[in-house]
Amino acid sequence: MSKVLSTLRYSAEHEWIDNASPAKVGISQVAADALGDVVYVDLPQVGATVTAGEACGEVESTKSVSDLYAPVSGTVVEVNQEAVDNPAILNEDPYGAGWLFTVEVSEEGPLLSAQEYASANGGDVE
Amino acid sequence: MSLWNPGSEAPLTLWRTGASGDPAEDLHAGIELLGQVRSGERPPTLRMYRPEPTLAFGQRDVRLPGYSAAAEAAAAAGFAPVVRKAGGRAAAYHRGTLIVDHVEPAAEAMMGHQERFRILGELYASTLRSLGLDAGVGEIPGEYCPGEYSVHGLPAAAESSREAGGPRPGPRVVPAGAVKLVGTAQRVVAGAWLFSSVFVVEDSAPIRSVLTDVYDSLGLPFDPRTAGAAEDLVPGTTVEELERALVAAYALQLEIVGG
Repeated sequence: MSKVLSTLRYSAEHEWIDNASPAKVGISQVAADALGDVVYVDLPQVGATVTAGEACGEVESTKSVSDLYAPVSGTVVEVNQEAVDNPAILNEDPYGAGWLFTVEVSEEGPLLSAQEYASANGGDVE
Repeated sequence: MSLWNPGSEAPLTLWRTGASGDPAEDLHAGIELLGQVRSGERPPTLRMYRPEPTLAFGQRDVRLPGYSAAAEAAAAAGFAPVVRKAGGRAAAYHRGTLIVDHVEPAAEAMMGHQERFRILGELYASTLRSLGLDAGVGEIPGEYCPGEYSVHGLPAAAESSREAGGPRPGPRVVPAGAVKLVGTAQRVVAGAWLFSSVFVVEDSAPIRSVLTDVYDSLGLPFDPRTAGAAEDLVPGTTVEELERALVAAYALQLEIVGG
């Protein structure tokens, strides 16, 4: 069963975000498991403005490309080059080494608690 | 309620289009259609067209050092190099193929993508079987744009190697001698999905030839013996015949309108 970390909040589009400043963003293990082997990641550039609920990148698993959505609005501070170079870490460690980018938050989008996200999408809250 | 979209009872609108003469524009039209279906501007749609010669690279291919040489090789062979927004590696198609873009709205599009590969792969294999081909689902070792839900066909001589009991649904071990007949890929956005497929029906030789050059330039494995067309296995099979059979197969599942 996929893990849903209780310390994070989630978007309906399966991104997680932590409470740090700048905030770290990734995709949930529920989503990573559903996608299968991730083979390609395209992330927003440092300095780019992202808008909550709008596409800001792409994640490709074998033969399927999914849009990546920003869970909040703000400015991208850092991107995880390791995730770009080795996308398999999104499957191996989606809440750790598989983070995608950090963002200086200007406005939050609609976010779910771990319990709310797990209720809607499955997964074990830990 | 359809097999591939349990949340929808809407009919599927058939939209036959001609190639525009601009392969990049034809690819972009599929992405545009995805946005229109997502917003509700268009209903669930099954778009079909016979493309101009095109070499559709995957986005990963562009990052390979041999990409420029591969694009040049494609252009030299008369296949327009483009980069597609759906998944997978390089694929080639021309007027002897049929492109099928199946687009549906879905509240939770990402979570169902593996199931769509399985269900629609089997639907397409059954369509080919209705034309007399021994078709199944599964990755062929050495195929172009590899995927576990590729649809393949077997020559008559290889049929004895198929497991007894007839075709089984879902991916399986593919018997030797199989050739790839349908490649499938998806593009998923919040609220909708695009399931895009290439049916290779006629004239497989130029596809084998250009893919050999392109995969060599990209430094990726490809066995040209795995690239075929339906007419290689059942002589006389045409794109028009395949198109009619495919619409009939969809119509067994739900109402088809338009076309």
